[in-house]
Formats: sequence, C-alpha cells, structure tokens
Amino acid sequence: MAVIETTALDDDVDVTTTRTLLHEAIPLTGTIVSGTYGTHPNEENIKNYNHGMFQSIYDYPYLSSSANHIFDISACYSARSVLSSAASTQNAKKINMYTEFAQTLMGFASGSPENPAADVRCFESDLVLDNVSRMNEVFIINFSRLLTKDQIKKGSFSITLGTGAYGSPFTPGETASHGVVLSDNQSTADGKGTTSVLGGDMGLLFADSADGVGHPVTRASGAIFYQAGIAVISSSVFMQSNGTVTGSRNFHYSPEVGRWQTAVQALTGASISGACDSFRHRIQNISFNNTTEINSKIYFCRVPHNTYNYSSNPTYLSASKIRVKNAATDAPVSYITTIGLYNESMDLLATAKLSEPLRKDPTNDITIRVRLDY
Amino acid sequence: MAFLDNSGDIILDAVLTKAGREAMADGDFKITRFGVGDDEINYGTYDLSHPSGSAYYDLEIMQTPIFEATTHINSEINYGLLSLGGNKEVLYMPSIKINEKDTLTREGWACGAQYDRVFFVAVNSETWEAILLEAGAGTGGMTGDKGFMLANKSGQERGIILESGLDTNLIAASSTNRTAYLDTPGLLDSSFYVDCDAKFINSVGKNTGNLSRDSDGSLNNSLSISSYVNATGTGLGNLEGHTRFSVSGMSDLIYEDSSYDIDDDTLSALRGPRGSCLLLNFGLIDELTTNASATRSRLWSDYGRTSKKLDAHLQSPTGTKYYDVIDTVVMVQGSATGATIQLPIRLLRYVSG
Repeated sequence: MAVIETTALDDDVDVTTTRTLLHEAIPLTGTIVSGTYGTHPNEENIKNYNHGMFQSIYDYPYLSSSANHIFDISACYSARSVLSSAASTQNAKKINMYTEFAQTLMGFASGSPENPAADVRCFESDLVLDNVSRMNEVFIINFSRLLTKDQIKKGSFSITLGTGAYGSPFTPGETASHGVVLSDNQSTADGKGTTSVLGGDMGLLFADSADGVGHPVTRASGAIFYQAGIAVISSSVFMQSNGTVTGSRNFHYSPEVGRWQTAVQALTGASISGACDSFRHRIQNISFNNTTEINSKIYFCRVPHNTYNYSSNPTYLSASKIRVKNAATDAPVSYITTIGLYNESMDLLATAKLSEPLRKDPTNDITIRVRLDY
Repeated sequence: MAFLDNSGDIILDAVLTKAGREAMADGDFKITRFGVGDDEINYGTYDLSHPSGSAYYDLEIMQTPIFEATTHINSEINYGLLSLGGNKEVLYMPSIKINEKDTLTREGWACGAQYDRVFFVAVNSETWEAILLEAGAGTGGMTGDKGFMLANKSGQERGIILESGLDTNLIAASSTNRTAYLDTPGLLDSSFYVDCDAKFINSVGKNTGNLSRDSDGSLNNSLSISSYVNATGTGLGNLEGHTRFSVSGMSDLIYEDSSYDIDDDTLSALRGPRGSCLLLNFGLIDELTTNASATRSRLWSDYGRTSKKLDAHLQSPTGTKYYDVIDTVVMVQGSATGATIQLPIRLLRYVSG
C-alpha cells in the first residue's frame, strides 16, 4: 500500500560480498544407532528396504514425522575382492553397491570402461590412486546432508568401533582394548593429508595408538570424503594386523548357518542388511564438525543527516501538526524500525528489522549494514 | 567469551519477502534501492512536555518492541520515512479526509458513510433504485437518501470526495498559505494511489474539475469523472491480491474568505489550507453487476453474504428489500505526502423485495 521514498544503492560503493564458514559439532552416540528404539537388530529407527542394498538410520522411529534421516550404512565389496563369488549372499548387489560408491567417489581407471565393475578405481588406504593398497571389502557410512551440511570439516572426523566379542565389543578381552578409534587426524583444513578425487577431497582414517587390534597408526583403515559426507571403513579393522581374528570372530551371528561369523564371513555369508546390523552394533561413537558456507551480500544503507527525518506514519500528525515538534524551527525526528530492500520496479524484495527503534534526526548520519545470506 | 562487534555500523540480517523469493526463482533478483519504515512507532507517545527535558521526550518510543521480519509484504513497510527535500522546518503535513459535509451530500455530490462508517456502493441501477426507495421510506437504517453511490458512473455523479491538506485551524486556509505550506515544500498531492481488491474492482474514476467557491461564496464543485483508469501494475509494496490505480488529484481551491457569509469550514472537510481533492468511484468486474434476474456470481456467496436486509440493527432489520453484500476496503494514499486513508466499502446488489 505504501508510497515509500527510497534511496538508490551504488553497486560499487554500497554493495559488497563476503563468505563465512560456520561449523557445528555433530556427536552421534552409538546408542542411537543400536538399542535405543527397540531391541537390536530390529530397532524402530532403522529402516530396511526390500531391495536390501543399504539400511537407513533415523534419529527417532522412522514412522514418526519427527524423525530425521541421519545416515545410511552399506556393506559391500569390489568385483576384484577375493570374496566375490556367485556363492556369496547378495554377491551382485554387494558388488553393485561398491561400484556405485567407487565410481562416484574415485572414478574409473579408463575413460570408457568395458566392464565398469572391473575398471572402477577401488578405495585405497593411501592417497596415491594406483590401485595398490586397495580396500576391497568395506562398510560405508554416507551421512545425510542434514548433518554434514556443505561438507565435513577436515581433521574433525572420528569413529569409535568395538572390535571385541559380540556381547561386549567395547570392553577389554583377548587384547588390552577392544575399541579402535579411526580418525582423519592427518588431514588439516588447508588440505594437507588429503587428495582430490572425483568425489571431492579425500582424507584417510587412521587408528589411534590405542588400537587394540594392532593396526599400525601409519596405515589407514578407512577413507573419508569430505564434500560427499561419506566414510569408508575397511573390514580389516575387525581383523588383527597379522590377519588373524580375535574377538571379532563373533562379528555376526548367522541364523542360516547357525553359528558366529567373522566380518569377512559376514560379508559373504550374510545379507547386506545383516552385515550392517552387526556393524551398527559395534559403533560406539561418531563425531565430526560440519561446515556451512554462507555467502552474504552486504548492502550499506547510508542515511545522510538531511534525509528520512519525517514520517508518513499516521500517528506522526495531530491535527496536521507534526507531533515531535513544537515550532517549525525544532529539528524533525523519526524512528527507524525497518529497512526495505527494493528492486528497480519498487518491489519489496527483502526486509530487515532493527532490535529497537533507531532515532533519526538532522544531527545524525547513519549507515546500516543489511546482510542477505545465500 | 567473544566481544560484541561494535565497529560502528549496525548490522541487520535481511529476510526475503514473497516477492523476493519469486524474483529469485525467476532469476531477476536485483536489489537497487532501500527505504526505511517505522510501522511499529506510535508517535502519540512522544511527550513534548516531559518535565525532565527533551532527552526524555521519546522515552516510550525507544522502548517500543519491534516485530520480527516476515515474508509478507503487507506486514512490512506501510509507512515510510520521508526526507521532504531536506527541509528541516516543516511543522505541518497534510492528511487526507473524506468530505461528508452536508453541502456536498445534500446536493448529491458526495457519498457519506452509512452506519458502521461504511460507504454503500450499488453495483447496478436496479440496486440504486431499490436503495433510493428504502431511503425514501425510511427503512433499512439509511441516514438520508444521499448516503450511497452507484458504481461505474461518469460525469458529475455522486462519489466519495477526498481532500488532502492541513486539517488545522491554526493556519488560515488562504491561497497564500496553500502555496507556502503545501505547494512550496512539495506537499501537494498531485496524484493519489488507490489500492483495491482485484477480485471486485477493476478500474477507478479519473477526474477533471476542482473544488472552489462561486462568487457568492457557495461551493463550486466541478469534479467530474471523465473515464475509468486501469491498474498501474504491481510494485511499490502493493497489498497482496490488490490492484494499484494512480489517479490525478484535482486542485482544492476552497479558501477562507471573511467577505462571504458562508464559512469555508462548512464546505471542506479540512480546516486549514487545502491542497488537492478527488472524486472517487469504482468500476466493478462484470459478474458483480448483474441484475436480480440474472445468475448470481459466486463471488457474493464466497466473499460476502447473500439476500440480506439493510440495517445497522442486524437482529431486527427494518429494511424491506434483500441485497447481496460484499465488504471490502479501499486504501488511498497521497503520492507526495504519503498520507493514507482506509475506506470501508460495502458493495450491494439488489436481490428481491
């Protein structure tokens, strides 16, 4: 309705842009992944699908409208893996899942692969893409954008996994400790310890020195893709460094064969969702910082001393006399509460409000910075 | 514990309005201007007589809580701040008033408000005749037979007469003061913006003529509607669902003159210098103007009431005829002064009786 007096903004003088990075700490406790909303492995916040290729984890029973999808888990292996066999349960689906993740994140060795599953670059436990140090059998956690926002902050990711017996995966058992903490502690915000791959920046997940299963801290047991928000965990994390199995021999109970299986056995003998259930059971903690990149445009709304000192507010007048003056020579006064940003057609495109009225009179000259975030 | 940023400027986070989002989606989002508003402020609390001095005059104003920004353009800047060309010595500003003086309503020039301060607008001649009969018979709670108008009439017909000027008896309504207080400081509304609900009103009358005095001091009203103008388009903070019309303001030349027996205050709604005036009437969309024998538009039932008697006393109406009724509000604003007025309009369509 209003006829609004406006002032032109000069693009060169009154408008500038800025970028801000915002980080949030995201702690995910293992209890939300297994056990909080029902009895493992049938929790109400875990959604399995008919296709059986991955399972989704919610922060609340997923049938509730309050539930938020927080991440997915899949268990899979490469077509080059020794586990790949027609006899393996869901063999094709496990290879397909690995191929999908790998082709999106790592790409292909050749430009036009005849056999994508065979030509796809495998996940590697180093930063050199030479198909040496491959991680052929992996568990993959892909986080929702709700958590990662624009990307995971480099150097902030860690996951604690239990490697002990099924019933007590995190407590001391056959070795001094049955918890392994994988973190990207060699990656830094300036890009050190990472490499650029097709899916963005990749860092490596190293076991901490307290690794109970003997992995050297110099060898990675997983990879993290920061922009994609995907963590790839090698199944070897549940094996001793010398290849033997300790407490993790009770990684998964297979009702089909009626006995406990190791992580490797689960990858061949169990369904993807079955292997994921057992993997979930061993997640004690996940934490990282996310990053939101805020691009802002700042408009410098300059109000000189001789402008906007009067108001068209109906209460400004009493019997046509300006209420804030006794005599014509008194200085006019107005109070700013709102800034409106307009286009050339005078459409009101954005508004900003002050927290309290700002007095404007001919003795003051105000610059109000209005920030519009994108 | 972080320090607050007190680098001098005030930083505000802006919220996109609905129009801003649409512009963003269309790819033509480009901010080029800014304006400032003070909708929350009640200047009536400015206390020029505060015993502690001028530092305390705005004590209450400065405590006014401010609403959050919203996406709806209606609820943002309705009252903008003005510069008035940097002139610091303006003491009086115009307001818009409705001229319902007996002189004008008696002569059939002006439509006065009926009960509830609502202006009655007949949508067709059949309705006009029916209301005339009611008024003549003293039924329907009508206050005289001049308190209603017929939509879409051209010429010197009855409409709502608005005047823009100074409503104060401290300044004589002379020609000299008109120049000094209105024309020279740029406070003469040479045009008016009229915002109407687009569902009902599709044009507004364009004026010729003016208001002045005859040689005997009586009113010379030559305001006339020459044609109807269509919308000027969107923008400028239009109300949602409303169409904006721009119509020229005519000269209001009613002056105070002691040589006449007739007091100028009996002719004008304003007591001080008068600036401009407007004879307001509306063109309605066709489907609202059908006679009783024709099919009733769904607009009447969707947005109004059907087959109702006229009367302020709704429990025991004295009206004898039945009408369809739609209530709407028309907003008028002076283009130079930003002075505003809201006009409650009741559209009436005769049905039976």
